[in-house]
Amino acid sequence: MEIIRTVDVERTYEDKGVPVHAVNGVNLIVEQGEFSVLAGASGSGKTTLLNVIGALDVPTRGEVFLHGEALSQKAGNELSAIRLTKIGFVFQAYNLIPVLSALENVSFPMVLQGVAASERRERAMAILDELDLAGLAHKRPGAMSGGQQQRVAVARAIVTNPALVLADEPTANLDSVTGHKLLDMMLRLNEEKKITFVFASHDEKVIARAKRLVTMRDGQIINDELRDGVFT
Amino acid sequence: MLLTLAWRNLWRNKRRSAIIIASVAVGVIALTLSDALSLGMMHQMLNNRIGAHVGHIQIHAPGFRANPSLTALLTDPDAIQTELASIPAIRQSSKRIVQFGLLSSSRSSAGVNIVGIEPERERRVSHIARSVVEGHYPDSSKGDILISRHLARKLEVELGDKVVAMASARDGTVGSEVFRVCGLFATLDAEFDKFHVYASLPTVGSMLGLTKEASQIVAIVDEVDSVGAYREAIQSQLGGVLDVASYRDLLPMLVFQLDSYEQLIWIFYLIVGLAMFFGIVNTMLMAVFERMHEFGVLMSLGMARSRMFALILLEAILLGLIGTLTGELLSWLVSIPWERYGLDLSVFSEALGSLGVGNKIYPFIAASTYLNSLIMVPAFAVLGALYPALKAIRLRPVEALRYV
Ligand SMILES: Nc1ncnc2c1ncn2[C@@H]1O[C@H](COP(=O)(O)OP(=O)(O)O)[C@@H](O)[C@H]1O
Ligand SMILES: [Mg+2]
Repeated sequence: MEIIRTVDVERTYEDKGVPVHAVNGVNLIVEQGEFSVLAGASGSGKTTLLNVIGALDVPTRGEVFLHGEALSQKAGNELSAIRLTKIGFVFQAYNLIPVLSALENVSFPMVLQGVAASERRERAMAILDELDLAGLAHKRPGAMSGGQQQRVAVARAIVTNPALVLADEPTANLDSVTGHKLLDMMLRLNEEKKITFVFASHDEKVIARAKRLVTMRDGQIINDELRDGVFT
Repeated sequence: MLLTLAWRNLWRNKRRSAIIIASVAVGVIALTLSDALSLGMMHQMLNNRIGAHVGHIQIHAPGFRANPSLTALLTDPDAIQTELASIPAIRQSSKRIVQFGLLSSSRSSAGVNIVGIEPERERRVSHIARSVVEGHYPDSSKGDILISRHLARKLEVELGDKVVAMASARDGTVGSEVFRVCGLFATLDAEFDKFHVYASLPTVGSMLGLTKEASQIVAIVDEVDSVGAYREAIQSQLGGVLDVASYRDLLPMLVFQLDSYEQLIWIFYLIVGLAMFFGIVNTMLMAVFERMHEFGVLMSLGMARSRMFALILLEAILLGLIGTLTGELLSWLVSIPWERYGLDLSVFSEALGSLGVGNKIYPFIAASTYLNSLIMVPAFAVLGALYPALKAIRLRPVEALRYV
């Protein structure tokens, strides 16, 4: 099943009057169950494309379809609802809410969804348990290591059962062992729960595990290869 | 959860929150205490006047208040008093004769209101008896006269000296009587003191050629706040012909002052509110910009703009509420000894004396004062947070996320 389809997507910034084509005509389809990596040198447009796909940013031209629906037709609060229910984000800088404990951070999207408190707690605890994070439940981000924070961030991203998890350089701030551990976890979620992941990363560890590798340069896709079977 | 989040966010920058809370509290304290002082002063002025002479209710013949003379008299005051005695809300009544006249000593003379009182009953409708500072309160029937210390100084008389009172009598002749100064009084109101002298009702009556008539009946009721309703009830019970007035009718200037003060206090609120408003705009702007990245995260999690807006306003409301409650608590603590022991302002005693207040003021904080600031101040805090909140939600998520 198709989750994302971008059609001739462009995103142009004005930099002191000079247009910068951060994303310059991208056609990309993401199917359910993928574990894909957008690779490419720094500045090639990975983050910009990911933000456009995730409805955090609006393309200058072209169209993004999520489950066949054009995002350009959506009002601001509809886009919020889409981010809330269909998309999970994992950022380079973890971005947990500092005043909330791990359990509360993971519960937060469910608060926004209006899930009852008892069910929130149950589901958040179940996910933390599953990801071996139960011990961190009552710690705040400040009291956790980077790897722990990032795993809690993954838990937060998947707790609403989104159609798609977008991860922008999730390992960039982690040491190599921790990075591997995080990727193991994400791969397991992909294989066991069929959660769709799209990464933007130039980290070799991430690229090595990609089931599909999309390479970008100057805002365009220059290579798109399936590497299914690499890990089986 | 929104509330939890807002609450915890407040304590992230403890110093900044503490500063804004303290400044809100100081504003509230200034507001509350000056309000308490003004209210205390005005109520005291009112109560002094009520206590010294006016009472809660006065009954006159129609026309007396417009032209206080012997042409408008209560012809059968005893019947009215009997009637009043049957009304449970009325604690006590006393009749008076009031006539303007001249009081002369061997040295000097002064225009005064000669008040004929029923000495024993008068004790229970005014505190003139308790205001005697030298000598004694007049007995019934004898030629005693009670004058103020001020007047004694002016007439250059002492206790026991003779004075002559003269006033036009009912038949148009001039009635006169020789009195002996039995006592000196001093109320808190210097102006009042200069113009009032007291003698027994029968003596004044016979001097003016009256038999059983009186100028007024003063009454004290149980519940001062319901004085308006009592007035109506008494008016109808007495048949509607007599002029029944409450202290609100009798002291219109003071009552007007009190009423208009209650409206003026809003200007105070506005000024303090504005000062707070700018403080909060500033604080919230800093707090919002500092956390712009985090708002980006909240948006990426799918938080609706309206909710983020509410979160920011909630933080401002909490700041305002905590500041207000702190200020009110401190004001309350300060006001406890004030309310009990009064505030000694003898430094300003002369000015206060001419206002009829007395050296000591008993400030009190009205429940409405607490309530007003509890509503007004957080409202200003919300106003102050509007602009920063709008700033935050206007950004696209990516733009907010770009802040570091
Ligand atoms: N807000 C912005 N304003 C101007 N130029 C930008 C902005 N964001 C990104 N760019 C430019 O767009 C290009 C792509 O950036 P980005 O998508 O962040 O690349 P990547 O994630 O692959 O490193 C870069 O040249 C970058 O300088
Ligand atoms: Mg990037």
